[in-house]
Amino acid sequence: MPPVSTPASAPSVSGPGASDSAAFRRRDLLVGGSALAALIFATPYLSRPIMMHAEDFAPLLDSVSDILLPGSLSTQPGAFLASVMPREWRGLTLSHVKTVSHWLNRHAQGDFLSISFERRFAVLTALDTATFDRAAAETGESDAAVDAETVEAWTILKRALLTSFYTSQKGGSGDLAFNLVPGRWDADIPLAHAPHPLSNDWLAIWFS
Amino acid sequence: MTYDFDAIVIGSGISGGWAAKELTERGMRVLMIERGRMIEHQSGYENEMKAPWEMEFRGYGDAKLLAEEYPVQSKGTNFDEYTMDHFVNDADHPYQTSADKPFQWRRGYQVGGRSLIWGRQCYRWSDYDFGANARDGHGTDWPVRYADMKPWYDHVESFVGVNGSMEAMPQLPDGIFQPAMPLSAGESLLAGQIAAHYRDRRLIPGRSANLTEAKEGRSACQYRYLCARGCSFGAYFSTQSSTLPAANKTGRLTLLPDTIVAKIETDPRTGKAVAAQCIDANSKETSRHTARMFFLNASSFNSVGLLLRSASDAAPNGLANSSGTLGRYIMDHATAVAGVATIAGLDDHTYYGNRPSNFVIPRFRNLEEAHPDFVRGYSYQGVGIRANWPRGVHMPGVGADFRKTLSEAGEWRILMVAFAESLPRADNRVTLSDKLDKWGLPQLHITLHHGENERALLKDAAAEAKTMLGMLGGKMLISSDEPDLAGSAVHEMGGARMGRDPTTSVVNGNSQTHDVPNIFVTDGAAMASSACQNPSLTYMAFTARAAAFAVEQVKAGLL
Ligand SMILES: Cc1cc2nc3c(=O)[nH]c(=O)nc-3n(C[C@H](O)[C@H](O)[C@H](O)COP(=O)(O)OP(=O)(O)OC[C@H]3O[C@@H](n4cnc5c(N)ncnc54)[C@H](O)[C@@H]3O)c2cc1C
Repeated sequence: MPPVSTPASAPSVSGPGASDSAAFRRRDLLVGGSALAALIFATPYLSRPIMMHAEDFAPLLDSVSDILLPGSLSTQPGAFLASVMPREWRGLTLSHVKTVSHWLNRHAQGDFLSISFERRFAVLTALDTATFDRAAAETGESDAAVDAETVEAWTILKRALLTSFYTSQKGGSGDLAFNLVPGRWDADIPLAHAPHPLSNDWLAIWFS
Repeated sequence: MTYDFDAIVIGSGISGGWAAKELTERGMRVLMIERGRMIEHQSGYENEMKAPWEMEFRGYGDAKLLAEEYPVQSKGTNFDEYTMDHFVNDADHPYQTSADKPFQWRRGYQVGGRSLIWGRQCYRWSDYDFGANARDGHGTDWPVRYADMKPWYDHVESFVGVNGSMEAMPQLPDGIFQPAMPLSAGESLLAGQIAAHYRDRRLIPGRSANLTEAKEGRSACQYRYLCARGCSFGAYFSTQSSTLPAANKTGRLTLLPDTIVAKIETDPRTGKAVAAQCIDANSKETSRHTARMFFLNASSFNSVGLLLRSASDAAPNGLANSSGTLGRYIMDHATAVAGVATIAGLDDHTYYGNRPSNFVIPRFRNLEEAHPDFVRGYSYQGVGIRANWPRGVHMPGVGADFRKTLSEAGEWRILMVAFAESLPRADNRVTLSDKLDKWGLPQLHITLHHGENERALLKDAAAEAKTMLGMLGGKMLISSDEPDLAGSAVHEMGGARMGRDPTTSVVNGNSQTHDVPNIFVTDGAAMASSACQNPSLTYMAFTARAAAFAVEQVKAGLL
């Protein structure tokens, strides 16, 4: 895993043309990653500050979701999260996504979306591991490899991605069982009789 | 004098529904006035059968809207995107409170009030409770004891349909129960450990107003736990499923929704209440309705507010307030998450279905032996569940294995919430603010802070929870003795307390105001102490009892 010494808000090297540090700084402020990043480098006109919107991150969100929960792409997490992010759904904001995107690009040493699936998997795993290592570090167990802002951003994004999948029909009634009208309460049964919990076990959802 | 109605019931929630049922069934012509909109049983439950993927925000709601318009309601139990229309919009219904520890006033303004969204836990109070004020000197003595209330508990439970187990615990009297909803495997394990290690306490199934057997046109519970969305099966007790149909059946009920009672008008000659002055909630047009008697069931603090607003030359400090205690001695149980722990060695057990109830560990402190650190007691309510997919947020994992793990049952967890008794104190009070609402009525100012006794109770509760949960061999995840903000228990009560002495209390032992005999306060406003049990069953019992008394008075020509 690449060393992480720069705070998330500092400029970082993220692709070909890295020698133009001013351009990086601009880009860094604006772009978390995506094909749009390549365009910015290719088109001087676009290298001026532009606003990024939630939907611009849909491809990144799709990719991250599908790495986190393989097969979740068909539930269109990017489009869904882009539609609810402006309303701060599950606490998720554009700024969180930008922060995560920034980290992923930095550790992809380029545009995260342009690297191979295997490398994307490795980079996202590194972020997730570093996040939990940092949590452990706070209890004195290991060294942190990610800054607090990114930890928070990834935790919130991970929650949003999990929620997006398990409240979709595929996640909520495919991976998990779903029965809005169970009609009975079996208080103690062998696990083998109900190996997949109900996604509508509302109490368990609230207390998990 | 002729009246439009024999009785006007103000509010159509849990207690108002009971007043309407009992008064109409005893021959009274009743007008029930409700400030909120009509919600029809069954057809009015708009989100009842929706899956998360059918909701715009997948059940979690529009966070920005919630922060702007539902900042208090959205932080409470049972509030989500499916149920939010059963709670008030805070922006439309402001109140004033202390800035440091703001009171959390959770409300439902609609036909049915909070009967649609309540947690349905139903517990009798015992003489440990009705005798508490006399015993330790906090508050004024209740003019009733359990023996006075028992027939009325029997009466309301028989109609409500409460499930529970017979336990012969004097601090939590048994009632007329339908079969209990059994404990989950994890809860049974804890119950067994407690039984093996303690003689003073027991973990038992919660007692809830959900039918386990069909009853009078209502179906048995389907174990959906969608209650707060409204239940077309009529399987839990609400105004819509139970008291309203009963009152309607008599042909003597008139229901007036979307109408705010602004003031109760008194006759200066007789001092008696004569009319309810109202404002149409939508058009703001005013109206006036007369009756022989008035039942205040607008919920504890709203009933107090109505009496305060009804001040007149003869009663400048508020109607029925010759004692000066109106608005004072308000209470709400002090709650804290006393413990959450995992259970070891039970992974091959699980459960199926959604039980809309919990377990309870009834009060065990200050029954026979006095505790050195505090008076009164606390009880726990909790659940034992298997963690579901949200646990994935708190564990490392990416990829196919992670997805597979989350598709399986997580570890067992037991959650125990402590409900501590709240002492009645004069400086905890409701007053009228000089700020007005959009109908031109003064907003309420609510000051309610938990005190040293509540803190001491919760400290003990957290310590005891840790010890009990420690017997499960798992990990302690959370334990807190810090009280949640007052109001969080949603058991707000007091402000028009019951007592024998007209100089120190607002209502007498028949729930009738000392000053104005044709006004009855039968919601939580009349509570003189808080016990540590959920209070609504007791409001129901007081309401039914007061209605029977009032009708006797009418028949005797005394009202
Ligand atoms: C999430 C939640 C869980 C709860 N769980 C439990 C539980 O498990 N057990 C328990 O015992 N209690 C529980 N409670 C508390 C319970 O809901 C209340 O104690 C109970 O509803 C009080 O009954 P009420 O008739 O006094 O008031 P409400 O049910 O609140 O009804 C009052 C009605 O009066 C109307 N009103 C108010 N002002 C006026 C006016 N000026 N004019 C006309 N109408 C007016 C309101 O719109 C409302 O419809 C819970 C509450 C909530 C919100």
